[in-house]
Amino acid sequence: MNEDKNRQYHSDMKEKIFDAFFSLVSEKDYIHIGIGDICGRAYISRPTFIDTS
Amino acid sequence: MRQGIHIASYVYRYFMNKDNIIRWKMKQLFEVGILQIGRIYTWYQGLRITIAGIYKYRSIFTDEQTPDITDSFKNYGANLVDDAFVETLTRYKGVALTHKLSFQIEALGVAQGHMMRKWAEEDMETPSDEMASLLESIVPKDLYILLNEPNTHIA
Repeated sequence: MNEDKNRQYHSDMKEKIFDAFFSLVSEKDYIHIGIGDICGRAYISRPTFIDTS
Repeated sequence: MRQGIHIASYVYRYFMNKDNIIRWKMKQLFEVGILQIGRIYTWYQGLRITIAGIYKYRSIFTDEQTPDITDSFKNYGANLVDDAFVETLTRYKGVALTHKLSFQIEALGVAQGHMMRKWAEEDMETPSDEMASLLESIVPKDLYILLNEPNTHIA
């Protein structure tokens, strides 16, 4: 169950990133789209810290 | 140990670069359509789902600044389809892979991949329904018959 939720969460994140990227392509040249732009468009509001242990 | 990271790192966790974002979507569109031919879809149904998805995002797949991406239709896409069709034939249909079938699968991947790339280079002027129908029309007869009837159970 948790594994399914986890998989779905990561899949949703990828979809969100793609949607943000796709909307940017119609506004500016591909070459000028940066990761920062994609993050900004995706409104990725995540915890400031992640557990890397 | 907890460590602060820049928000951009979240994107890098999923994709190494912009090209990877596009390839991920391409793979996803293949997986939900063409790769399901013979499992849950007929040839036309599977092709139509993938082609309609690619058409929906044509501003990305036809961008002249992403020649490597349009080239992926020919290489990456074709390989993906080859593997899936072999698995569908052998596992879902219980069909032994003959030299002739193997040849047809490889040739189809090359032909369809080439025509999809050409379609992208021509800004996808051909409507997606018609493109799916055209791609269906070049499937070798043996392969067409074997995979046109969906079979959701592993043989």
